[in-house]
Order: sequence, then C-alpha cells, then structure tokens
Amino acid sequence: MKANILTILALLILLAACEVYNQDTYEEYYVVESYLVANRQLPQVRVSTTAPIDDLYAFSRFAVADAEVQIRLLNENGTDIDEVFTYASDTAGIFQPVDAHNVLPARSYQLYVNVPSSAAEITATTIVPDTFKVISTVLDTLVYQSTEQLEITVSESTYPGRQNVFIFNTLALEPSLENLTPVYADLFFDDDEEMDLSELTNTSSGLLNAANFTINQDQSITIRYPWIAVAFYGDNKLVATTVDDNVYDFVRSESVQLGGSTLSPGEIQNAITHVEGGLGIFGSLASDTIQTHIKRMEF
Amino acid sequence: MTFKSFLISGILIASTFAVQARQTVSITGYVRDANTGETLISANVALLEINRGGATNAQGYYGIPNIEPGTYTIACSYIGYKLFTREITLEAGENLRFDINLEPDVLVGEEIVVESEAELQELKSIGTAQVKTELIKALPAIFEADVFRSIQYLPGVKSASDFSSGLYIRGGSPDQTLIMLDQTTVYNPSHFFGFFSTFNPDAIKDVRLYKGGYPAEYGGRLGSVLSVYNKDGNRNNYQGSVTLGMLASRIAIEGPYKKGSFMLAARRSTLEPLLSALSQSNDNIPSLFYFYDFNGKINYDASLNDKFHLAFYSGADKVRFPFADDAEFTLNYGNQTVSGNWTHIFSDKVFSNFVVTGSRYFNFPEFEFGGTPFKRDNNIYDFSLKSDLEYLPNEKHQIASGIWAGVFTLRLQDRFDNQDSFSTRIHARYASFYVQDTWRPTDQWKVIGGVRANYFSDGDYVRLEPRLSGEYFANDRITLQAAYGRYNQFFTLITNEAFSGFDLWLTSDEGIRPSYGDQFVIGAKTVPFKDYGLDIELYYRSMKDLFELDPFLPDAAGLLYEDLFRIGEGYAYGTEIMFEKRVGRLNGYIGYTFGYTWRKWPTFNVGIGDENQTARFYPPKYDRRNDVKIILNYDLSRKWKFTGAWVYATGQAYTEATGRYAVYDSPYNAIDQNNVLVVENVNASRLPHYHRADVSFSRRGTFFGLGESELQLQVINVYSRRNVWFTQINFDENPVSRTDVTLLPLIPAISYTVKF
Repeated sequence: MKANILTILALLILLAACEVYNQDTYEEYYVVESYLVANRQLPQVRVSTTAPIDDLYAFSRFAVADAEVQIRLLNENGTDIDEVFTYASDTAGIFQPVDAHNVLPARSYQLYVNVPSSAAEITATTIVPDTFKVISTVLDTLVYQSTEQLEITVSESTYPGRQNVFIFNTLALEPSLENLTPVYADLFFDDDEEMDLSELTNTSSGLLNAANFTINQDQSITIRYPWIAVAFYGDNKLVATTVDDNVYDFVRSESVQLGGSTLSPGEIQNAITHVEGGLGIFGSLASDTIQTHIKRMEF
Repeated sequence: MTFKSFLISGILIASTFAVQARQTVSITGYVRDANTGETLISANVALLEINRGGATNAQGYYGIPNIEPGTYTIACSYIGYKLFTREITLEAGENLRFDINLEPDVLVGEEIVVESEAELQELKSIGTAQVKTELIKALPAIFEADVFRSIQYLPGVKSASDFSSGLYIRGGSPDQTLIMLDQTTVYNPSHFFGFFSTFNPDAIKDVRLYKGGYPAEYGGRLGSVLSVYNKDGNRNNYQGSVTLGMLASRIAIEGPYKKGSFMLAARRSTLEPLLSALSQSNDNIPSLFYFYDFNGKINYDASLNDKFHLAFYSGADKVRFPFADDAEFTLNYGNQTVSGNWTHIFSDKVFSNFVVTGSRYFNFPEFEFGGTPFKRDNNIYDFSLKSDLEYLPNEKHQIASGIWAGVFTLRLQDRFDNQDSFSTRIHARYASFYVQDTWRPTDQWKVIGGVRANYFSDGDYVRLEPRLSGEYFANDRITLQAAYGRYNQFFTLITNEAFSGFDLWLTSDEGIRPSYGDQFVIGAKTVPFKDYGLDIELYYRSMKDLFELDPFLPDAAGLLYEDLFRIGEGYAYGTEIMFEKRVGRLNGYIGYTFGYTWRKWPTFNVGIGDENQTARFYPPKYDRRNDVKIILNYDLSRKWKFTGAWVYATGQAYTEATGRYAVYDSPYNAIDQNNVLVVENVNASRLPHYHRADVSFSRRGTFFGLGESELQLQVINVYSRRNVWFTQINFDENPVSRTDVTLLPLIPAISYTVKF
C-alpha cells in the first residue's frame, strides 16, 4: 500500500512538472495612438513600437517613420469603406491628415497602418459617440465649497449597445501656487517627490456611467459638479466627454495595471486595446466645454 | 458518479431501519472537563470488553446503542486528560444515562498523557485539522494571539502576506472557506483591516478545520469549513483572566449559576498611546483607531435532556484618518452574531440540535475630499434556522440529517457628493437539507455517504451534492482514506488582498450561476513510532463557474447585475505531508505542502495578437509550489516554555512586464504621458522565496499570590528577513525602476496574563 501511495505521489509530481509556466521573453509590437473627436478635424496618428521594459524610453526612439497611414470612414453599417483619408508624416512616428475632414458623430472609422519594412498591417475600428451640448445656463462665478454647486445639463446622446460613459476634466486657466485650493495645496506641499504644479492643472474624474446622474424627462442629463474636481481658484474650463468602447476598455484596464482594483498587488494584466496586429488605442469621443470662475471662500 | 452515490446512500439509509428485536440496552451521556464542566468534542468513549464505542459530537454527547445486558468497563479518553474508567452494570431494558467528567492532566509528560483514539481518529478524518486553544496562545503571534494566523501554520493553508490573516486553503481563495462561530456564519472575521481575525482566543473552546472533502452536514462553500466553538463557561467555579498586550488587552470571566454557566470575554486595542506618540513627529497617523470585540455565552440546563444556550459576538474597527487639509477618511466596520441553541435528547437513539442564528456584517467607509463627500453603507444580514438530528439505530450505522434555511440580505448604498450614486439590495432565501450515514460494516471499515440538497432563491437554483468518504483501518498504525464531494457556492467576496475593511459579498442570480466544484482526496494516516504521526494527503479539486467582480470595472452604476462579474474556472491539486510528535516535553510538527492552483478568466491573460482571444490558465498570487512549516514546543522547565515556528514557501507569483509604451494625445487624460505595460504571461514570475522564524518564551508564575500568571516574550521574524510582498514599477525614472515592497521586519512583542 505504501508503494501505491508513493506511486500516486510520483505521478502527481510528474503531472505538476508538466505544467511549466514561465515568463516569455520580450517581443516587439507596433503601437498606434489616435483619438477622433466628433465634429472636429481628423486627429494626428502616432505610430511607434513597444520598448523593452528596462530600456530608456522616449517616443522618438521607438517611432516608426516608414508607415503608410489611413483613416477610413466606413458606411452606415460599418462594413464597407466610404472614404479614405491618407496621412503623411511630419515628425518621425507622427502622421497628419493630408485632407481636411470633420469627424462625423455616430459613424464608424477604421485606422489602417501598413509598415512596408516588416509587412505589418495594423487595423482598429471605432464608433464615434453622438454629439451633445451643455444646454443649461452656466453660472459665471461660483464660491468654492459654497452650497451653490455648479450644475450642468447636457443634451441627450446615445452610444450603441450601452449607456453613455463620461469623463469630466477640469482645466485650470490660472494655475499658480496661490490659487491652489486647500486640499490640493496640502497634497502639493506635503508631497515628498516634488510634485510639478502642471500635474494638477488638469484633473480627471475617470470613467463615470450616465446612470450616476439625474436623467431628465427629455433624456438630458443633469450633472452636479463636485468640488473635488477643482484644484485651482480662478477661471476653469470644464470639459464633459463621452467615450467610445475603445477608450472605455483601454482606460479601465490600463488604469489598474499598477494597482487599485481587486487584483492582487503585482498581478498585471494587459490593457484592452482593440487593435489588430498591434497595441495602443484608436478611440473616439464627443465633448463640450464650459468655463466658469471659482472664487475663494470668504471667512 | 452522482447516481452511484445516491444509490449507495439510499441503501445505507434503508438498511438502518431494520427493526432490532433483541432486548438490548444503551448508554448515552455527555463528556465534560471535570474542572470547568466544558463539554469535550470528539472524546472517545468505549466499552472495553466488547470493543464498542464512539466519539462525542459537537455538543459533547455520545451514544452506544444495542448493547447486551451485563457488566462492562466503560473508558473515556481525550488528549490532555487522564483516562477515565468505571465498571458499570447494564440491566435488561435499561437505557443508562452516564455523563463523564474527565480530569485534566496537569502534569504534562509523555508517560502520563493519554491519547484518545477517537479524538485522534476524528482529527485524522480526511482533510480535517484541529488547532488547540493552548497552541493558539503559545504560538508566536504578531502582537496578538490569533486563531487564523495559527491556522496558517497548518499544511495546506497559506497566507497572502504577513499583513493578512485570510485563509487560502488548498488553492482556494478566502471566500471558499465557510467560517462559523457557534454555527453562525461570520462574513468578515477580521480586525485591523485583515491583520487579525475576530476570534478572541480567551473565548474559544475548539477550532475545527475541514480543509477539503468535507461531509454532507456542511455546505455552502467550494473549499473548506472552519468551525469555531466558544467556551460554555465554567460550570463549577468562577474564574477569569486579564491579559495586557502591546496591541490589545483582553479580559475574560466565566462561572456557574444555578442552572448553567456563563462566559464573557472582551478585547480592545490599546494603540492610542502609540498613535499619540507617533503623531507628534509624523503627519500620516490616524487621529483615531481602535477595535474591540465582545464574546458571550450563557447556558441553561433545563433538564437532563434539554439544554439551551445563547451566544453572541460583537466587534468593530473604527478609524479616522485626516490625510490632508480638508480631506479625511473614516471607516467603521465589524460583525455581530447571535445564536440560540437548543439541544434535545429525544431518546437514547435520537439526539437533536436546533439553532437560530443571526449574523450581521457592516462597513461604513466615508471620504471627504476637498468638500466632496463619499459615503458607503454596506450591510449584510443573515438569519437562519438549523436543525440537526442524529439517529443511532444500531452499532453499524449512525445517521445524521438536518436542514438549514435562512434569509440573506445585502443593502448597499453609495452616496457621492450627497447624492445617491449606487444602491442595490439583495434579498435571497436559501435552504439546504442533508442526510448522511456513517456505516461501519466491520471494525476495519468506515464509510460515510451522504447527499446535500441546496436551494437558492435568486435565480431559483437547486443543486445536489453527493458526498462519499471511506476509511480503512489497515492496522493499529495505518489508516487509508479517500473522499469525494461535490460542492456549490452561491456567494462571492469582493475584497482586496491588502485591505479587508471594504469587503462586499455578492450572490449568484439569474445569469450568474453558482460556482461548483468536485473534490477528490486520498490519504494515509500512519503512526511510524509511538507518539509520532506521519500523515499524507493528496487532493485534486475543480472550480467551475467562479464568479467575481470584474477587476476592470470602473463604475457599476446602471449596469446589469451580470455585467458586474467575470466568470471563470480553476483547479488545484497538491500533496500535504505532516510529521508530528504529539506528546512529550518536546512536541510539534513539520508540515510540507506541494501544491498548484490555476485560474482562467475569459479575456484575461490572452496572448497578444491572438485573434481567437483564448484565455490561458495562470496561477493566482497566493499559489506557492512548496511550503514548509515547522512548529516546536519545548518545556524548558516547570516555569519556562519555548515555542518556535519556521515557515518557508516558494515565492509568490507575480507578473514581470516585458515591455512598455506610452500614449500622449488623449484629450481626457490629466497627464501628458500615460505609460502602459506589456505583459506576455500573467503571474509567470516568482518573488524571492519566503521564510521567517518566530520564537516565543513564556514563563508561568503567580501574581502576588492572587492567581496564576504568564509572561510571554515573543520575537517575530528573528533574523529580520525582508520578505517581498510585491514589486512596484516606478515610471518616474527612465528606464523604469523597481521597488520591492517588503513584509514585516523583526518585531518584538510582550504580553502578561493573570488568571484569577
């Protein structure tokens, strides 16, 4: 019987030995980056490669200069190409559209990149979110942390297959040490790693589902802007953005690579890119911007 | 397999109803500690002349049916107690009630200590382990004696880190272990955000861990069951203890009253002076932090055949941390349980136990940042009724059956900026029924067959779980064992390995099927030499339909319930070997575990460029190939005792990124260059090996003649090994740098206990 146990044990060890799972070595991939914004001109496209993790990294070192780049407007069904927009390189790895074109909301676009030197083809497709507008009256001036908060109402817009997902950015137009709001001032002066003031001039809400906000009868959405978003007194631009699936997936997966979710510390998953033949992001957005002035509290 | 199991169970059950026409007698009763009156679980009772007997159940009750009238020697034994023997005469038709009081063996020594075969057998049931309260208190502990950290020293049980008391058993995550206190489910048994478990060692009588292949009387989790029993309280004398420790202090009192006994134990952290001192020189110190817990139990012996007890637990952690001007974090979380228990002996052959339980888990985190508040109210309520019956039709069968039905309610409410941002309410009813037969066809064989049926209202799921185990007592020194079981789980825990203060439990529902898995275990329990044991167990377990919160989910508002989860699968297998010296001045064990555990989640760990998006299995962080634990107890003298522990484990799995790139132009991003890591295989690399030695010296004495005292001096991580928890990649430097986040350094601890 002891022999049987030992046999089973040996088999188990043998089975385990077959389950080798080692880390692979570095492989190079092409990386693309471009964001269409509804009703704006076609954006630039970046083409580069990945870098080994321990290499000095700069975009210029890994830029791909010899690529052929196109953005293609697809038909209403998103199946066939309606129009092709060619790109030309002005800086290594950065490509600009040759012809002007206003990005059409609620339409599909395809990025096509061909790298002749390696015969690589990279494609990605996005559905541009429908446009929306801030339709409420925006107060010119608000007192920081007063009971009167900024409320904005945005018109109805849709995205196929899901609710809208927003990102709100606050862009400080008068960033200075004196204009820092108390909590950001404390974070700035307490930071051991010498934070750069420019890191606070653009605060982002991260991804927020439309269901967080008040949906009105006409399907417009009213958003109460939280004070947490305001890092500086003075003039601030508030940008409301809706994102496509590519941006949504990329942001939500990339943002937890260094922690912050239920993943165990040290477990890193690849970002979701929806790029065939490479990595990166080809996303699209719709946005609207307002401006207001934030006054200090008076005691 | 399922059909066969049902068939076997049916045959076993049917066979027990054969009428016994002979005029036989029986003997039943409770086994207790003679000093305290505490009932003893799994004590061995036997009639020596006819080699018949059994073990006491969880209530300390035993029964020996179908005995021919005559004069016998009844013997009772239990580890740490003197052997009890008495001559008794059983008259025809008599059903003798014979309660036994065992004298503790105060002179611990290898010549005197008597081992109970039943106790050993119970502990040697496949996949089962016991941690004695004495060991919990003796083991070197990080600031505070802790049940879970003691359990982590067992083979097959792993910890996520020095900071976590979570139990990772046989490749399962912590939510795959059902944790019960006096038969009441405890949903977040942690203090200090997971650093300690909630169980106060002063209040505990018994800790049983079913690591796998557990019988039909338990259910609800894929992996394991941990059953903790509080003390009943001393039925003979008043006694108590006070312990002063570095992290927390404890007080316990117990004693008799006219018709029973009571026990009260309280514990509270005593960190305020330390926090106050630290806050003089450091800004990042909480302005408030404490935890507390209370345990209580009152017993009422209504009659010889009816006993009642009411037990409760209440504990909470509170922290307030102003981390910047105009920014503060507060958290209040904890558990409350209550159980009312009625034990009724219907006859010499039928024993019953009825329990009403209530369990609440709550956490209320609040952030206030720059005038924007965030608040969460998370409440879980679980109320249940349990009934268990044991029927002893004859000497070959012991039938157990029971029901467990209850209502689980989750209320989750998030408010952001004083507006409701997310709320959900789950109100699920659950019920289970089991029947199980322990069949001893011969002295050499024991077969336990059973089936458990489960119902869960959300999704209207009905699940059947066959269970079968067998033991073959080859000789006095070798027992061979095997077990199979199907297990279902209707709950999943949303937690973070580093912080358990925000834990959230969610359930299966329409579109989210309950997880299920099969477990196969074989083992051998041997006694190579007198007083030594060598046990080997091999296990394989599958995990299907695992559901857990999608770790990429940024915001749950407005999503369908099923869209909150990722659904995956896994499997684990391994070998556990334990060599122990059970008694004597020097005792302890060496445990070794060789184990693998794997998980697969769709769209995760997909090869880059894989057009089919085929997910690949990968090991979770807590996967460790090799794991060695050595525990030694040595009585240096009558007053001084040494306990040492050494742990070695293969380094944990982590992901070594192979490449990187950056995105620059995102209109929505607050930073100019957003760095992205590229990974080939998730968790394919290993951190450095983990090892650590802890020592404890305790000195028994007296406290100014008023009572016994014990001084404990402990050192955790005596050679200050800087084990790595995880490696942080830092993009602020170019090329990237890596920083090892290390675990606990050398930590001394001291505690002083006075018993009165």
